[in-house]
Amino acid sequence: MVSSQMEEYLEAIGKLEERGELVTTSALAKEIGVAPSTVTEMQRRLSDQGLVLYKPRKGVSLTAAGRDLAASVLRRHRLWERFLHDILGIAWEKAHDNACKLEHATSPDLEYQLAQALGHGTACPHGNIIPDAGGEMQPEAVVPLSELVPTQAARIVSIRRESGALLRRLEALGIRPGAVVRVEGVIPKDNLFVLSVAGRGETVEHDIASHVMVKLLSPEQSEAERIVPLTDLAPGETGLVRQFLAGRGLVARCLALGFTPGAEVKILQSFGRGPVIVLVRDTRVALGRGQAQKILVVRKENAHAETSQSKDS
Amino acid sequence: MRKPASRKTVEATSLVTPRLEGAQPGGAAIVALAGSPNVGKSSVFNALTGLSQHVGNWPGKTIEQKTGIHSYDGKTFQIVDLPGTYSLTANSPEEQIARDYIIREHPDVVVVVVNAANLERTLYLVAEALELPAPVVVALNMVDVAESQGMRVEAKVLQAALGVPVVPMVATRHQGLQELDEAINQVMEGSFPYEPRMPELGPELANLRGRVEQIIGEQAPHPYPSCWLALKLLEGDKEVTSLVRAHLPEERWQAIEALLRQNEDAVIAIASARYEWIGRMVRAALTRPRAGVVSLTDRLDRLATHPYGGLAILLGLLGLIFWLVYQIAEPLVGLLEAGISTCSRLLGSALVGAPAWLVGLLTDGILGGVGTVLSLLPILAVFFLAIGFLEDVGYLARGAFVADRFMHRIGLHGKSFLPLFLGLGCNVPAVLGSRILDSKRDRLLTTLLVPLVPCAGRMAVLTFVAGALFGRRAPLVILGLLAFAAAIVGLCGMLFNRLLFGGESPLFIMELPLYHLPNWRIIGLQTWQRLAAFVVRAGTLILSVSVIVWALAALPSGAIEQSYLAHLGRYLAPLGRLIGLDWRMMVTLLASFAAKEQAVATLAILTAGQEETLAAVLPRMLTPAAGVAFLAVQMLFVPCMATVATIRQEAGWHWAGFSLAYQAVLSFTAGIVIYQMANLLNLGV
Repeated sequence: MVSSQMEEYLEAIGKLEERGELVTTSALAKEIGVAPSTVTEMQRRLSDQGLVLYKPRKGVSLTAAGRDLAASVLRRHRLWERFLHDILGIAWEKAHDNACKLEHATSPDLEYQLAQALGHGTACPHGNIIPDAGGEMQPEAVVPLSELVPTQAARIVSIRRESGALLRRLEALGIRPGAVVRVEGVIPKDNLFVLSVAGRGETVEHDIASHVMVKLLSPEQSEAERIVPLTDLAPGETGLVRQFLAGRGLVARCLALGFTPGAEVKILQSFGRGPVIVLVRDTRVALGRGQAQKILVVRKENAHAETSQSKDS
Repeated sequence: MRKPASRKTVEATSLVTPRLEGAQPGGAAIVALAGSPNVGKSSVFNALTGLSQHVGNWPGKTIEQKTGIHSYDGKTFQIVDLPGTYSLTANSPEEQIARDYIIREHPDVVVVVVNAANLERTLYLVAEALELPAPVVVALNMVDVAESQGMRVEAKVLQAALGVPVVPMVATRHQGLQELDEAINQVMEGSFPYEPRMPELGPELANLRGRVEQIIGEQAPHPYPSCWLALKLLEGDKEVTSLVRAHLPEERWQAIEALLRQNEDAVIAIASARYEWIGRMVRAALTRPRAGVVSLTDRLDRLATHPYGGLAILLGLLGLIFWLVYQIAEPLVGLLEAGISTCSRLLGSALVGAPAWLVGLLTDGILGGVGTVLSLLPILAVFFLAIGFLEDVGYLARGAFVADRFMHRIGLHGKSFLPLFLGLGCNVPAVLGSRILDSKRDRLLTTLLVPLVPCAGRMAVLTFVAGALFGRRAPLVILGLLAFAAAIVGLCGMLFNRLLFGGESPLFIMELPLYHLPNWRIIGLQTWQRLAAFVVRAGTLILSVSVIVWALAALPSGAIEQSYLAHLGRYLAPLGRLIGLDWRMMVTLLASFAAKEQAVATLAILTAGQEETLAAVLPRMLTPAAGVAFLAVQMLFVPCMATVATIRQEAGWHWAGFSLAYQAVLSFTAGIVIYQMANLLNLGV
C-alpha cells in the first residue's frame, strides 16, 4: 500500500527528474519543505517498496514502477489544478495547495471523469505537462529563462516551482504560460534580467528566471509573435501596420486616413474594452476596439531598459 | 471682409436644379473647393464668398451644398463647396458627389485645401484629385497652427515638387486670399507653368492598370477617362464597378472581374503608392518638430478622453447647453408666445362679426402654427451655436469618443449620444443635430431613435398626470417610466440595427482634430443658414399641418367634443379599452400630435363642465394601471408635428412616415401590455 505521504515524495522526485536535476536528499528536502533527516527515512521506505533506487551520496532515481506511480500522482495533481483554476476560478497559487490534498483521495474513476470533464487538457495552469493516462509525458524542449541571452525571444511553457509568492510575482509581471518574452539585457552585477513582456519592460531576478521554463523562438518565430492586433499594444507603444482583417469599407477608410502597410501607429490611449486613440501620420484617430482589432501591426521594440529603470526608481 | 460692396448675391440656384450650369451668371468660371474634414475648408469658402452664399442640398441627396460668388480683378468666379472627404473613392455619398462633380461638371479649377499641420494625410486628396481631368491648386491652410506645433512647410518647395500652385494661407484671418486668387487666375489663363507631377504607382500596378484600361478600350462610359476608371476598379469602387459593368459586353467584363479577383489587394497597394509619393513630395518641404514635445492637444486630451473624467466633462457641457437654453432661449420663447397671443387677440377683436371658423382658422390654425415655428427658433439657435462651437473647437469628436464606450453596445456611433441627449430638451434640434454623424446609416438610426427620448413637453405631461394620480409615489412612477423609455431606446437601437442595417456595428473610425480657437463668424453663419433652412423646409410644413390639426379639432362645430378628432377618438375607443382609456384620453393622445405639452390643455377642455380641477377629475377617469399605461403610450406616441416635419427635412417622407407608423404601433403595444399585465396580476385595478 502506498500512503499519501509516499505519493507526495514520488511526485516530488518525479518533478525533479522532469527538470533533469539530480535528486539528492537536500534537493528533495527543499522541494517538499521538510528536514533532510525526514527525507532519508522516507527514501529508505520507498526503496524497500521498489519504487526508487537509493544510492548513498548520489540520491535516488525512480524505478519504472515508481515512475508510473509518480506520473499518476502528477497527473491527478495537475488535473485538479486545471479543474480548480478553470472551472471554479481559484487563483493559481491556491489551486496548487488544494490539489496537493485532493490528489491523494482520487480514485482512478474520478481521475478519468475529471479528465473527461476537462476535455483532456495537456498542461496544468502553470504550464506543466499533465501526464497521459498511461503515465507518459512528452516534455517539450524547454530551457530556463535564465539561460537566454539578450535579444533572444521565447514563449513561456511552464513555471517549474509552484510556490505562492513566486506565482503571485509572475502573475503581476504578466509571465504566464503562452506569453512571449524577449530578453532585452542582462545586468550581471545585480543578477537581473531586463525583459519585455507583451511590450512592457520588466526586470526580474536571476533566481525567478530560473524557475520559468521557456521554448526558444527562432528569429522568424519571434517576428511572427510580434504581429499582433493593434489593440494588443499598450499606450505609448508603436507598431507598423501589417495587414487588415477587415471588409472593404473599413479598409478603404483606414487607407485614406493613412493606415497603409508600413505606416507607424502609436497608441495614445486604450482603457479597458473601450475605443482607442492612435497617432498615425501626425493625425489623432479614434477607433472602435472592434475596428482596431482588425488592424494587425508589427510591434516595434523600443527602449525597454529605459522604461523599466524609470519604473524601479 | 475685404470688399463686401462688390459682392453680388447668387441668383437663386433652385433647390431642385440638377446641374449648376443654368445658374452661372454671365458664364462665370467655376472654382470647386475640395478638402478633407478638419482642414479649414469652410473658412476658405467663407473668406472667398463672404455673405454671398447659397445653401441647398445636392440633387437627390440630403447633403448640404453651398455655392457662392467671388470677384477678383473684375472677373467673377462661382465657388462650389464640395463635401469634405478623405478620399475620392465612392465609399460614401459625399465622396461620390465630390468626384462626380469634378468629372461631370468640369470646374475650371479645383482648389484642394490641405492642412499644413497635417500635411501628409491631407495631401492624399491632392494625389487623388490630380488623377481627375481638372487643374488643381493647393491651398496650404492653417500654416499658423502648423507653426504652433513646431512644423514648417516651405510652400515654394512643395510647389516645385508637385508642379501645381501651392498657396500658404491662414483662411480664418484672410491671409493668403490675394495669392490664392492670383494662382487660380494664372492657372485659368494658362500663365502658370502647370505641369503636375502625377502620383506614380510603381511598375506592377501601372502594368495592371494598363491591362484593365486595355480591356475597357473605347467603351468607357462618358465622360469618365478610362485610365481613371481602371484605377477605381482596382480600388474596388462600387459605383464605378457597376457603371463599367453596365457599359461593357459580358465577356470583357468577365475578363476584368477575373483580373480584379486575382488582385484584391491592389486597393492597399495603390493607397501605399500614393502615400509613398506624398512622402517624396513633402520630404524637402516639411520640417518636423523635435520629438517629445507635448502639445496642448495632448494635454487637454488626457482629461477630455478619459473614460470617467471625459464623461464628466461631456455631461457637464451638455448640462451647460441646457442651462443656456433655459437662460437665453426660454425668455425669448416667452416673449414670442406673448407676442403671438397678443396678435391673436388683436386679430380676434378685428374680426368681430366674422364667422367663428374663420377666426379660429386665423388665430388657432395659422397663428398657432407660426407660433410653434417661432418659439422653436430661439431654442434651435442656442443648440446650433453650442454644437457649432463644440464642433469648431474640436471637442465634438472627443465627446463622441467618450460616449462610444457605451453607445456601440446598442449599435450606435458615439456621436449619436449628443443628439439623443439633447432630445431630452426638444426632439427637433436633436433630429437636426444628427447631422454631425458622418455616415448615412448612423444619421438615420439616430433620427429614428430621437423621438423616443421624452422631451420637455412630454416630461411636463408626465409630471402632471403622475402627480395627479400617484401623489407622493409620483417620483417613483416617473423614474420607472423614464428607465422604461431608456430601455426602449436601447432595444429599438439594437432591433433597427439588426433589421434595417443588417446587424453590422457602426464603423467607429474618426479623426480627432487639433483643438483650436473658435471661428465665431463661421459658427454664426452656419447657425443662421440652418435656421433659415429649418424655417423654409420644416416651418412651412409645420404651418400647414397646424392648420389641418386645427381643422380636425375645431370643425365642424367649433367645439372639440363634436369635432372630427373626437369622432376619431370614439372610433378608436375599442383600442383604448384594451389600455383602460376612454375616448377622451384617446383624443388627448391624438391632439398631442400638434405639441406634446398640449395634452394637458386638451384634457382640461374635454373634462370641462365639471366643478373640479383636472387634477381632481383624473383619478376618477383612470385606474392606476390605466394611468401608467397612458403615460407609457404618451411617452412613446408618434412624434409631434414639428419633429415629423424635421425628420422629413433630414431623411425624407418615407422615413418620417416610418417614424409615425412604428411609434404608433410601439406605443399602443406597450400600453396594452402594461395594462393587461397589471390586470392579470391584479395590480392597480
